[in-house]
Formats: sequence, structure tokens, C-alpha cells
Amino acid sequence: MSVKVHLHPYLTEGGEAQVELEGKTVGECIKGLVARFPAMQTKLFAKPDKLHGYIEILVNAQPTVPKELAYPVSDGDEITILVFLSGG
Amino acid sequence: MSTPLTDQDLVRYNRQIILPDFGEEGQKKLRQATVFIAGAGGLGSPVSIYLACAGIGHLVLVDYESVDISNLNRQILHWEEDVGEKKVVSGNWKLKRLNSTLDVTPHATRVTAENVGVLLDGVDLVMDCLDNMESRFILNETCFRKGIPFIHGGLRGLMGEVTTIIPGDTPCLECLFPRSPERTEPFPVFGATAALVASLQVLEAIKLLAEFGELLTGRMLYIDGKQMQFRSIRMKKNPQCRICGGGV
Repeated sequence: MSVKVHLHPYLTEGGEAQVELEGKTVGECIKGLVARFPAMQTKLFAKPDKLHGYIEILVNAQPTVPKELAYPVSDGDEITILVFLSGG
Repeated sequence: MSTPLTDQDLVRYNRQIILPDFGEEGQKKLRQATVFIAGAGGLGSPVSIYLACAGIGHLVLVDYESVDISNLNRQILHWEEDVGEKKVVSGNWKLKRLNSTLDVTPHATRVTAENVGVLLDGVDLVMDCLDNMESRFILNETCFRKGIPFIHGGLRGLMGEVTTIIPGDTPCLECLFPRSPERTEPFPVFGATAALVASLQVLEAIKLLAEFGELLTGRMLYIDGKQMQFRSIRMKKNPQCRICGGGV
């Protein structure tokens, strides 16, 4: 089962903008993402299993808050990780 | 009822009036508009300058801070001589000299739950040029309640984002970010990033007010200046949103 994950430039720092991952939930896919790119752990998570407030996750353009990590995904779904840029 | 453009208007705004989608009717719509600019800093500076140049009738400029020398790498509405002055005072002076037909209402105050209703009276459009989430969420909620369009801009370093929120039609800010992000100050930024994001916000404002073109509704435009890539992300309403309930 493959899920396409679109990554915000804040996370990638010029690296791959999208990756294919496996998982039945957003959390499982994110776990795979962090395993591949360990530097993303601190950018994504404020605490283990708690995303930063500036992170939002869409599945097929649908916001997934408040239980993003438990949100189910299936083959062909697209996850987009947004980062709120709060500066002005 | 709209009043005709003057001969001076027709000359001054000629290069935009000759755009077929815009024309004299578009120019009249800009002149009749009242635009609220939340923040007179990195984004608010170019936003207010370009709106003034375009011939907006009335700007409401809101910022409680004073000019600091560390603002001057990006806040082009303020100059060395303005350090220590309230930003709305500095901004009002410049904007009136840039376009003497412009009305500016400066408010040296923070946007709060208590004053936001009064501040937004008579406003056609809100430009989000803020650097804090608390005031953004207050504006987002009040714009939804009052049915006022809201053009969000945000930035960090060489990255930026823009989306246009139409109450009832598009996701609101809290659909996406219901938790208040942690404050990270000072955030890194180049003036050119602010100018880029602000220019896109102003293009959205002109199109929205003059009713032409396609808006960034239901989409967040992300700008990655480091890799020089632009990407538009489609977004749907959040049915669990505290503000708009998604399906409203």
C-alpha cells in the first residue's frame, strides 16, 4: 500500500518535495518519513506523538485535526504536510 | 452610487485602466473600497504602498508598535528618521504623500477581541500582515462572523505563503491551524521575501475588489525562495472547525 506524501520546504531544506510511504494511518506514514529523514523529527514533533502547533496535515486536501496521527489512509491517498509561516 | 473618475485619475491610473479585465469600472471599485491592513511591518509596508499606488480609496492601518532600527531591513514604509515613532504615524505620513487622494485611518492599537468589531466596521477587505497568531485568529473569526474576505500572508526566511479566505466559501484559518503555533521570535526574514508575499496579497486584493481573474481560494500558495519554487496546495474545509464548521 503506497501513500504519496507532499513535504513543505521548511521540512525538506531543498531535498525531495514528495515521497512514497507505506502505512494505514497518517502516524504510520510519518513514522516512516522520520525513519528516512531523522532531522524531520524535531521539526514535526513538539513531544513524542504531539505535532507542533505550526504543523497541519491534509489527506486528499481534507484537514485531519484534531487526531491527525490516527487518521486512516489507504492506497493512492495523498498526504500534504503544511507548515504555518507566522511571520509578517 | 459611484462617482466618475476625474481627468487626473484617468491619467494617473492609465496603465492599469487599459487592462481590459479591469478598466474604469475596476478603478472605481478600488476607489470605493475600504481595506483594513493588520500590521504595518514587513508585509504591511509593501501591502499599504501598493494599495495606495493602485488607488484604493481608504486604508485602515493598525499596528501598536513603534519603529525599531532592526525593522529597517524589510519594513520599507519606515525610514531611519522614524525610529521611535509609532508605525501607523510613520506610515500615514508616507502614504498620504504617495497618494494625496487616499484616506488613511491609523490606529496605534493591538487587534483584540474587545476592539475588533469596531475596528472592522465598514471594512470591505482585511489584509493579514500580522506577525502573531493571537490577533490573526481574532481577525479570522470576526471576518467570518461579518462576512469580510481575508487575505492571509505569512513568511519565514525565504519562504512565504498566501491564501484568500472568503467566509462561507473557503476553509478559514482555523480549519487548518486550530492550535496556536508556538511563537518563534525573532523569525528570520529578508525584505525581498516580504515584498514578494505582499505583492501577491495585493494582486489578490485588486482582483477581489475589482471582480476579475481567479483567486487563491481553497488553495495555499507556498513560495520557496531558496529553491525558487512556487506550489499551490488545494485545501478543503474542516467539518470540525470551531469557527466555520466547515459545512456552513
